Amino acid sequence: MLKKILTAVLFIALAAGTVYSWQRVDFSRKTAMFFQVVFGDQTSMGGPGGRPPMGENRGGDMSRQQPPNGWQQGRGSQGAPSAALSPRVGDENGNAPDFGQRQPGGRPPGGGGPGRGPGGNVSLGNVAKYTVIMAFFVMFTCLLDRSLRKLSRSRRTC
Amino acid sequence: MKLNTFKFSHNFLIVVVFLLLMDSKSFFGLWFHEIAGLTVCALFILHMVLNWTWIKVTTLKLFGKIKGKQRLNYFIDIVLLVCFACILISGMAISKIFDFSWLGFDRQNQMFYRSMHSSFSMIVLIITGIHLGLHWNWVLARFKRSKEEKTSC
Repeated sequence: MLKKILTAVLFIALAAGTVYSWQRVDFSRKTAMFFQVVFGDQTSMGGPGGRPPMGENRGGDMSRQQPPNGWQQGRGSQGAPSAALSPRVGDENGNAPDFGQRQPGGRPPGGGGPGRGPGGNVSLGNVAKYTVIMAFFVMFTCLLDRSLRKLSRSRRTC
Repeated sequence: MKLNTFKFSHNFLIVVVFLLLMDSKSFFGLWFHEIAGLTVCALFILHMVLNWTWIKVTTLKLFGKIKGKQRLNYFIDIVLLVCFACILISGMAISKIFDFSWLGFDRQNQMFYRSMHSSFSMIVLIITGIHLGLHWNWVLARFKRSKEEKTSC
């Protein structure tokens, strides 16, 4: 019984961690972009002023063309200037923001970006997100496999 | 070293290196990402060679009488192989450390290859999780056997 409870708790924790990691990784946006590039859906890439796919020149007035939100801002940005360019904003009392706190529209702490050196940086925090996602799918498949096996066994005995 | 122990450590190495590869900038930068990426591809080929008997037998029996789980495993492995190939090709196309221009990749399509690389890596992450889950009994058996061997010693 205790084993079952522990498994359920672990599964719920992994599921919550996966949802959180999924949002941080922004998988859906990346995949959506890939399909937009593949199928050439320019209208959904930022409206009428959307950026054309690479290697394709639409011509005309280039100054009117705006990139879609978050496309050129680097990872973790949401259309606003990145943290490297925008001043860090403190709270209403004038206190400086905490170190590592994510700024609106800026890069996540410890995230990748052109400001980081070419090598020598070891940050396992980012790897943890992917580990949680993989662990969730391992556990999900494992539980599904076991329950299906139990079901087929019970059917056989009947 | 016994074959199963070698297989286990080899598979463990693939998973660890693959997880470190997921973020190109967080673990020793791009040079590690590219070198380790090519190494994982080599390890992946070795993984297929080590399990060649299973691949051969299942391919021959695929349209005959075969267990549903085995068929699912085979299908997942095929998808994994295709996705790995896509990651490798797109990785070569956007490579900055190594020069793969002799393969004739179109430098104009960098955005396409970049998004293809990240999308397929996420798909591979999920499928690898499913693949591991389907082989979890083997992993547990390896753990149990190594424990038994230790106690018997």
